[in-house]
Amino acid sequence: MIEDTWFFAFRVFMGGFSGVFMGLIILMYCVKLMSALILKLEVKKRD
Amino acid sequence: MAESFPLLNQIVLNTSFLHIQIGHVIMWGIAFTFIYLAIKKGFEPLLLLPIGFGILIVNLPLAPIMGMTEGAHGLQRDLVRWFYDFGIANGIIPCLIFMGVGALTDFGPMIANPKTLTIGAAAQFGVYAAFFVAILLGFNLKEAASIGIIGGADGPTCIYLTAKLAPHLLGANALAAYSYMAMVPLIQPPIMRLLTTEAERKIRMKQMRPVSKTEKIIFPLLGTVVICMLVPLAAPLMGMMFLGNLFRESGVVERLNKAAQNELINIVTIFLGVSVGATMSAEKFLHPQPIFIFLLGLVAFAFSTVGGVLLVKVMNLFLKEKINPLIGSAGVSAVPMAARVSQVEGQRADKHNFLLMHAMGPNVAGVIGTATAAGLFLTMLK
Repeated sequence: MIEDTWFFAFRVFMGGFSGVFMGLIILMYCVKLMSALILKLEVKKRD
Repeated sequence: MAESFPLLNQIVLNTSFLHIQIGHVIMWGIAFTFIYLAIKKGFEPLLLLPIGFGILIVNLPLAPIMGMTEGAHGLQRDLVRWFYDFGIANGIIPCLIFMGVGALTDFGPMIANPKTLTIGAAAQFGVYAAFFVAILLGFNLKEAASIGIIGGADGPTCIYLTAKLAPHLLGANALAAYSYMAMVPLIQPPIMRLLTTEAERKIRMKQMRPVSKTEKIIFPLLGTVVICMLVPLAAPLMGMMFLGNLFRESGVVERLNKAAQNELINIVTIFLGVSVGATMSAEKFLHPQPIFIFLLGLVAFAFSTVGGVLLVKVMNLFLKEKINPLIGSAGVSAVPMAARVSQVEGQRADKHNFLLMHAMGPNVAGVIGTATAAGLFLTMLK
């Protein structure tokens, strides 16, 4: 039972920390993509 | 004498004075300390003042504040119990505060430099370190998660998660979170100096590009979709925050924006502070657990700072344009205090170095990171 708790805690630790990283990295690439598209469109508009 | 004046006798017996216990007196001391720190030292006064008053009033014996009292229609909630049950226990107040936070936050620095999102993620390391240490100290998984989230340095998220996973720890957790948030300028600088060299602290960063209005308007929509799809249980917090931010950036609902930034956040902060303080009655609070929670909160804050600074140092191994590692510590969400600490430490090394706007990126990314971490805890532990 105690071992189960530790194993589960380890899974929460790994899953949680890597999950936060994954989530924010995905958001980072989405933001980059969004900015690139908008900047491109704005340049096109200006031209 | 007493028999001659039965009504007077009854009044005397029903005053609080005859029911005072040592625990109450200790809690008054704690209440007065928080009120003193708020008024005299300016430590998070918007929260520590109502929390301190809540602690005081709930520890006045016989006062119908946080329990259930027999009324005309049977058992009824006492005054603050209404606030607690309908505002905190179901997570409404933290989410409304997040709407205000969103309306007050400029995500521009983060949009200009999206790499800072990874710093916000790394600064959640303390959350998981404290989670592990809490289990080592005998807390169960849900309690450990609610303690760990203190390391995110985000009061509303801490309260939201604790109310869902371990409501009996609410008072201690909230108090630890807000106390350490007020102490960010004391906790972080020694760790930052320990982990960086003088040369690293002097790194100057290139001025950020201007962020267009369109980007600022689309970001809250994008953030809502991405984060809420990835971690649906973070949606109440993240959704409200991005809604508040959309009010701000859209520029077409100035009244709603002002209401979210001022009236709404102020009103719910009163209910939040008093309710959290009122959870700290002597019989619930005077145990070894809150002491452990305070120690674990410190562990969480320290490791979060370490996580943010170290990630920047690792990133610098691969980047052409180096990032000043001092902005890594701002990945804890205490906005804008943690960013100001980066600025102050940067200027200690180089008077003409301005890091504040660079540090705001990881700072607001930390808010997203902490709410995501809370959503993930809920997903895994509920």
